[in-house]
Amino acid sequence: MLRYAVKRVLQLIPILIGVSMLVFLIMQLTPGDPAKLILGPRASQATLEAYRRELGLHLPIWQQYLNWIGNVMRGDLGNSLHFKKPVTDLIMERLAATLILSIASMILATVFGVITGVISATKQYSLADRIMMTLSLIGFCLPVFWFGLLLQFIFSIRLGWFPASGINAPGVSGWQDTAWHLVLPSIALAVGAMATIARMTRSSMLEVIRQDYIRTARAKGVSWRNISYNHALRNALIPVVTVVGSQFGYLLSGQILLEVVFNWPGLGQLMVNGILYRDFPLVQGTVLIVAAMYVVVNLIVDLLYGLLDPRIKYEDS
Amino acid sequence: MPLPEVDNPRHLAPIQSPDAVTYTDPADEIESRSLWQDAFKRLLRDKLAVISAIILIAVIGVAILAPVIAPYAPNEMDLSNRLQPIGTPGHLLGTDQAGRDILSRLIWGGRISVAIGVGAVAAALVFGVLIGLFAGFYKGPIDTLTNFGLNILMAFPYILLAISIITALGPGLTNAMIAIAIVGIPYYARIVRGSVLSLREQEFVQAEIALGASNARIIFKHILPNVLSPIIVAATLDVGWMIVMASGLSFLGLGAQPPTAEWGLMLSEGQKYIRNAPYVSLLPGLMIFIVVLALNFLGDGLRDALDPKLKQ
Amino acid sequence: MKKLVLLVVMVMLAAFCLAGCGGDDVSSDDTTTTTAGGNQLIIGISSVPTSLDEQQISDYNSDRVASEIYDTLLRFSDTGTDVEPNLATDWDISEDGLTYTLTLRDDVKFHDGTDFNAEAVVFNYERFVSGDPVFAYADPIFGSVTSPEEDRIVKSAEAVDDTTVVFHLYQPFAPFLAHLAMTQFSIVSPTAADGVDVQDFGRSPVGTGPYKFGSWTGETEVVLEKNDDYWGNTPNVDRLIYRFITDDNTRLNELEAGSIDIAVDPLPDSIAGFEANSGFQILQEPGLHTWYLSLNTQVAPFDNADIRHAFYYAIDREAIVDNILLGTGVLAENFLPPATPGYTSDVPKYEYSPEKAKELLEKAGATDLTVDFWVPEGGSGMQSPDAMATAIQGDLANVGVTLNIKKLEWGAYLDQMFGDFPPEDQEMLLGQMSWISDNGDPDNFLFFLCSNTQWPPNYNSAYYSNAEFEKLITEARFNPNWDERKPLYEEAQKILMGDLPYLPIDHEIITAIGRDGIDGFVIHPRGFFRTGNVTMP
Repeated sequence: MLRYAVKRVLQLIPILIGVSMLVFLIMQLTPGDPAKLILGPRASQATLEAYRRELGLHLPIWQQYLNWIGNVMRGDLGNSLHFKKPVTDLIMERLAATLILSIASMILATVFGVITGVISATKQYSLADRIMMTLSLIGFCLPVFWFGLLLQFIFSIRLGWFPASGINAPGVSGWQDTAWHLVLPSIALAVGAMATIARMTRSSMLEVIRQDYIRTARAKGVSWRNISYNHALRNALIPVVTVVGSQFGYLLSGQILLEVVFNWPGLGQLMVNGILYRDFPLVQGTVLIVAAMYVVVNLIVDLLYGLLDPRIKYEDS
Repeated sequence: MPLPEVDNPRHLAPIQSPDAVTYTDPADEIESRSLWQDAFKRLLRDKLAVISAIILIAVIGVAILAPVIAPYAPNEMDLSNRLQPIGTPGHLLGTDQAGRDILSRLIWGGRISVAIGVGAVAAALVFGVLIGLFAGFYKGPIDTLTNFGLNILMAFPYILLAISIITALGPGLTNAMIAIAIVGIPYYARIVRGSVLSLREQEFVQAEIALGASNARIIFKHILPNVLSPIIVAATLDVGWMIVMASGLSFLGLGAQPPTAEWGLMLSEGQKYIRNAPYVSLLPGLMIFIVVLALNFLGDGLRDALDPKLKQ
Repeated sequence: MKKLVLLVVMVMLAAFCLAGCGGDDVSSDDTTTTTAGGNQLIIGISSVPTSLDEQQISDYNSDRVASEIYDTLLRFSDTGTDVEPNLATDWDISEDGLTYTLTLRDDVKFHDGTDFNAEAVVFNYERFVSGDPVFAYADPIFGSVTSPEEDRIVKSAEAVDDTTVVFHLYQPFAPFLAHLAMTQFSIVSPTAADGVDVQDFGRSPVGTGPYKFGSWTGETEVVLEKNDDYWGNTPNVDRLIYRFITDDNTRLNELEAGSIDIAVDPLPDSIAGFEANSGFQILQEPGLHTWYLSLNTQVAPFDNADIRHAFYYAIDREAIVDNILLGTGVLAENFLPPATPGYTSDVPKYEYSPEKAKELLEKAGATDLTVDFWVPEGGSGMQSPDAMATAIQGDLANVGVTLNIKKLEWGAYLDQMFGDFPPEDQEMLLGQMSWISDNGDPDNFLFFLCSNTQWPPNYNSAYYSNAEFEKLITEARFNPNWDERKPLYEEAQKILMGDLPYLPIDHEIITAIGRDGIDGFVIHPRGFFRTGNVTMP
């Protein structure tokens, strides 16, 4: 396990570096003069020149990158042009909102996905199985931003069961209110990932079920139930963990869209607004953080997988 | 990335890993031709796939014939007829916030989505396959570097990468297509590279190398055809994905620009009127859903039909 | 298996903890409630104020919030732009019009307890005209210290004694009293503002007004508390809460849900729904406002008058007003709003005529024109920028002109349109803008927006310059005799509507939707609100 873990962590570093380089490179291609963007249109030529030197824009690009990454390591992601605050502050303000939605959706997707997958596997080819798998295909195909809008329309605007947008009613705090606001967006987000997880669980379960030792237990008269929840599930869930990790990427992508639909004050909305405001330092910072988050989550999932798969967990012994 | 397949009650084989493909030497031409014919026959038996194929052909047909079929021009404004409900005489699906006929806009929008979907997939496919072929075949430093690059690209959640690229290129439909094509490349490159790596060691390839055939000949005549089967399935499913991504970008204001009749843009513009005219934004989204659903059913059907296990 | 369950539970707990802590921006003040119980008025406005320092404000969204915190020396009446006493009870104008002597109240205190007196007024004057960077309104109101002497209006302000302040002018200036009533020249507390960075003061303002600054929570809300020691009519409502809700639908949703009492700038399409609902009332007031297209008259293609006229003929203004604005605007025939003194309808008229437009474009050799059309995301007085932009884009497409819509967020939009660019460097050739009169005097529109001394960074975004026009408005500015000013302005309007640097589309009818039972909420034609007499149900 340790060797596996160390290997994974070491692999993380070049990926993170590569990601940061790509983000930096892409942002270099954005049009516009950074000095002008920061100082505003009323600055004089001389001030602009001086500021350009201060920003290090005359340095070769690899040096600019090193300066930037050095700042990032120290927690300095630059200053937002629009909000006139450090980007890091803005990200910290909105990180909680994003995480709440991501985590809630991921939990929903995993729990319901696994349950659905297990039921489908144990009742293979039954009506329930067919229905669930078709529903999962439908869920997979739903455009996330449309589904979110549809839910908003039906359950909020028409039925009034849930609030239409935001993370809290204005001026209210407290987790009850937040939970109420969380329902629609998290369902919309979870549906797509749920589909994949359900299918993966089903296949994985099926593979495990067909194995000899299960057949033996069954022949000996052990009930399906006992087999499912004691043997099959535990082993079947191992490959599912990897799927959960990869689904997080789709979830994050969907979340950026959904935060716009539901006016959810998270990092996704911040990023999209940043582009509208032509606030490139903000966009650069948020993209980097979200990408890094995704990479780290994948690492955690890999480590989790290592813990669960006995072949890896005990490889050193 | 496609949905993991559901095993078909017709056979009890365990799931296929995406890299497992059976290989035939294209020299055995007769056998391979009947493989495709078999696959086609099998596809026809899958009812859902057939229905989906019909729907898709209809969509493509309507898209191509848009100038002829659509009752109105997509940007024909009529301010005195704004937000007319579905079923208004003369406007089967109502009008939007500028009085434009929604049915016509959906038709024209289909044209754009089909074009973008196919275009983006084609671009991603071509570049992805080329990259995968060369990386897998030449191995060594080229492969390591390429692999590293692909891993970096895949380390981003897909929309994040697309958004970053668009920030640099500027909003617009063509730029959106470029962005999502770039995002899609690693997917194909990976599949192809994997196949190439295994294929390379197979006897018939080694034989060709020993015989002194040029690299290009080996790559394109012998390896490529074997890689095609999983690629075709992947590409079909991917078109739907590309369409969703493109409309997602347009929804964010980074893709199609007003007054273009693009489904994602229509959804975004219509959001403001969701209280009293929900169909303005919900109908375009429904179209995206239907097309993607059809593509997935078809793709699933194709995958089953092409499954060589059934040959046994 | 068990490990997984444990992990899931731990993660859920973490999620709930995070939800409970919330972000900084969610108000954790236990005393704020969602509904208006407890004698407070919650108003949903459409954007975040730029500052609460009136002297720096130039958009009336910020004005709406900030104006409750301060008083001005004189004030406008509730219904119009007649000037009434306020902090100054009486005034005397010398024969030559160069000396204004104002008598001040002696019973006024700032929110921080310090006295209001003539010294304070002088401090405010100095602050206003010598701000660095220059305050947007300093130049037009008094003439800032950076402008040459011949363009300046006020020479100095002098505190004769505690209750008497004298303004010495360079030349007689007709709208001077109206300028003293403008919210931009609000009186701030010298003690609080002296030496303090303007950004900081804008976040914690101190004035003499009926409401005191309470708190400003990031992008969520501003809370104002009643000033119990107010020298004038103490308001009924204890607390004013302005909530920033940029999304139009969300604003209306919150109104419907009862978490705000009044929603301003509602979507015109949604008004009918609320009108039919007896739980709500529609509050409207015609504004001294014009929504227009601004054309850069110094560069191609809009340096060609034929093209400007062609554009105006091409736009079906009536269709926009009737179908998009739905009762929240009236058709504009003139750049000035009709209620402005000196308004004349005897100006060149342009009916909707795509044929005429095409003719003119052909004449100008511009049959295949493509122009970037800049559109802001919301903003004070911009009504429905998207819908109107789409309509205009469509209208122009009908005559063969392609407009590419470029969207910018409001702050960035203002920075671009009024940035310190010479006309040839200005990227924005065609953009939307609106203006609401600051003081009801025709000078406010015609000078501020059309004088060739007011090019950006001031407000003449069209870079308009016409020597004859300039002569007329300058003469009118410095002539205190209204009977002589009026014909000058009428002539000026004729020239302006002949040149068409701006294409006026409509005049806004300022609209807000409020819960039924709220009385006394005043919408002033100038765009701000007066809440002094509001009673909650």
